[in-house]
Amino acid sequence: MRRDRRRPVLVRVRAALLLAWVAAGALAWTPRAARAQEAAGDPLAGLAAATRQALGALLDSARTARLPLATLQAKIAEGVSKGAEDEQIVRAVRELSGALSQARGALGAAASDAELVAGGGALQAGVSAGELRRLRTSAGTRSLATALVVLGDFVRRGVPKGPGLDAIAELLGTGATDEKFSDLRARVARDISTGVAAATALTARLKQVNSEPGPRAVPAAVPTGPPNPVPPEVEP
Amino acid sequence: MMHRSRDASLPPAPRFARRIAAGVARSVLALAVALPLVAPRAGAQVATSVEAGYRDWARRDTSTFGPVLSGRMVALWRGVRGEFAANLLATGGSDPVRGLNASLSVPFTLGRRSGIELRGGIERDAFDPVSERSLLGVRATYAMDVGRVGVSASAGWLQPWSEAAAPSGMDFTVGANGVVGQVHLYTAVRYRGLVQPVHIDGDSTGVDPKTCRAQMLAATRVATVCLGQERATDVELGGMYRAGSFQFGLRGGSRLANRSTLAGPPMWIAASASVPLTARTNLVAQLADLPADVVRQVPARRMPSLGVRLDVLGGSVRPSVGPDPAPGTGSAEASESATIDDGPGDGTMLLRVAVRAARTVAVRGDMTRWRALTMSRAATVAWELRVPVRRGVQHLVVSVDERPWRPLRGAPLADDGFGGDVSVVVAPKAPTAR
Repeated sequence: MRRDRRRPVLVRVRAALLLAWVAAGALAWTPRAARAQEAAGDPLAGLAAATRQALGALLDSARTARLPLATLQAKIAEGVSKGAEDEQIVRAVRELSGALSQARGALGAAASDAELVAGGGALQAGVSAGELRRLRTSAGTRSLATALVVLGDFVRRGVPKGPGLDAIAELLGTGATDEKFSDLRARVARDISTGVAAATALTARLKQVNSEPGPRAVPAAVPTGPPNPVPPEVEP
Repeated sequence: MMHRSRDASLPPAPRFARRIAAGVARSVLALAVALPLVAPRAGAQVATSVEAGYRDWARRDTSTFGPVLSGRMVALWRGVRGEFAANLLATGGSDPVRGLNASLSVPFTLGRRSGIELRGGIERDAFDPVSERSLLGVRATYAMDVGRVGVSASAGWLQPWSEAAAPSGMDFTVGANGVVGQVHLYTAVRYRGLVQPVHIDGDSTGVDPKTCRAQMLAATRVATVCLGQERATDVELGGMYRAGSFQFGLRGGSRLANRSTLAGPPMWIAASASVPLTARTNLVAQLADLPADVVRQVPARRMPSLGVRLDVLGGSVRPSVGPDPAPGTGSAEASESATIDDGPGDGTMLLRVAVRAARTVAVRGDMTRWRALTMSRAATVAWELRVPVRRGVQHLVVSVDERPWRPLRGAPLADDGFGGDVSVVVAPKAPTAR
C-alpha cells in the first residue's frame, strides 16, 4: 500500500527531472563561440604599454586607410594566443598592414575586405603587386578572394609562381566559379602530398579541370580518404 | 489495444541486486541532468537529444508496442566518451517499461595508426521486455589503419547484475571498414557464447564433457566451466550514408553457425533513416529485423519505429545503427578541409572541419578571436562549430586529440607571420565593394 501511495510522487519527480534535463540542454544551447565572443576583451590587453602604443598607432593608420581592422585585430589576438613576443606581434601586424595597403593599391579602391586579405596573403607569399593587377584586369568586377587564396596556397606549396599565376589567370578568363578554383587547388594539394612534383600536378590538374563540363562541387566536408579504424558495432 | 507479456520462466532477481541497480540508475539519471550544465564549463563537448515516437517490439508470441519517449546524451571530454540513454515505453494500463543505458569509453593511441579503446557500461533495455535485466558490460577494442581500410578486433564480456546465477556472455569480433564517397561501409564476423559455471570444487559428476570446453584451476579448487553451450557465429555487412543532416543506414547479416536454444531466421536486415525537418528536428524511422542475441538471451524480434528527434544541445547524436569511431590516427592529411556556411539565421555561421580518425577536435582562429573552442562531431570525420558571423577570409588552426596546434593540411595554407602556417577558409557572401 505504501508503495502505491508513493508511486505518483515518484512519477512526478522523474518527470520533473526529465524536464529539467531538457531545459538545461536548451539553456546551455547558446553557442559557446558566441559567448566566448562576448567575453573576449580588448586584444591589446595584457601586452606591454609600449607594444600597445605601437599597435594602437598601426590600427589608427589602418583605420585611416580604410584597411580591414578586424583582420589586424585578429592578427594581434593570434600572436597573443600563440605566445609570440611583443616585438613579433608588432612586426607581424606591421607587415600585414603593409601587405593590405599594397593589395589595395593593386586591386583598386573598390576591392572588398576579403579580396584585400586574400591579396595581402598572396603578396606575403611572394606574389608581386604587378601580378595582382594583372589578375584584377582578368577578373573584371568579380571577387578575386578565392582565386587569390588559391594562388597564395600554390606558392606556399611550392608551385612555381609563373605557372601558378598563369593557371589562375586562365581560369579567370574562362569565367570559372570559386568552386572550380577550390577544386583545382584541392587536387593539386592532394597530388603534391603524394609526392607528385608541384608543377606537374598543376599542369595535369588544370587540364583535367578545364576538360570537365560545369562547375564541380566544393570538396565535401566528408573526404574520401582512408577511413579510421572502426569497430563494427557499439556494444559494451 | 496494447499487449504486454513477460517470460514467467525467468527467475526473480535478488532483492539487494535490484536495490543496487535502482540506486545506480538514479545516480546516472542525476548525473545526466547535471552534466549538460557542468560539462561545457569544463571544456567538454555535450550533445543531447529527445525523441518521441511509436515503437513496436514483436517476437513470435508476444508484442509490446506504444508511444515511446527517449532521451540521449553524449559527452566527450579529453577523448573520454560517455553515453547515456533513457527510454520510457508507455503500455496503457500496466507499468511503463523503463530502460537505461550508460557507458564510458577511454581511448589509448598507439603510434599514428592504431589504438585501443576500453569501454564499460550498464544496460537495461526498455525495448526488451522479455528479459528486462540489468547487465554490466566491458569491452576492449584494438583498431588500426591498413592502407585505406580500418581493421579492428574486440572482445567483450556481459555480466547479468540482477540475476546472480545467470550465465555471463562473451563475444569476439573482427571487422573491417572503409569510406566510399559519403558512405561508410563495414563488415564484421562475430562469435558470441555463454559462459556457465556448472560445478565447483572439482566434482565433475554429471558434467557433460562435450558441452564443457574449459576447466579453470584456482588456488585451492577446480571449477568446471561450460563454455559455448549456447553460441552463434554471425557475419554482418552494413553501411551508413550521410549527406548533411540526412542519414540512412542499412545493415544485414547471416548466421554462419548456431548452437543455441534461441531459434531465429538465418538472415536479417535492419534499416534506419533520419530526415531533417528543421535545423534541430529530424524525422527518424527504423525497421529492424534482428536475430536472436545469444549472450543476452533475447530471441529474434522485429522492431519498427517512427518518431521525431529534437537535437536539444550540440550536434546530432549519431544513431545506434552503424559504425562508431575508435582510437587511432589517420594519414590522409590531404583530405582535411574546412568550410564556413550560413547558420540558421540566429547570428551564427557553421564552421565545418573534416579531420579523419580524431577523438577530439578544437579550433582557434579569426572567428573565435583565437580562443580555443571544442568542436562537435557531426559525422564520421566531420566536426562542426557554430561561430559568430564573420564574412570573408578567415584563418584557423586545429588541435586534434589535444596534440599541438596545426593547420588543416588539405586546406589552403598561409604564412601566419609568426614562423608557422595557418589554414585559410573563405566565408560565403563576402561584400564585393565598399
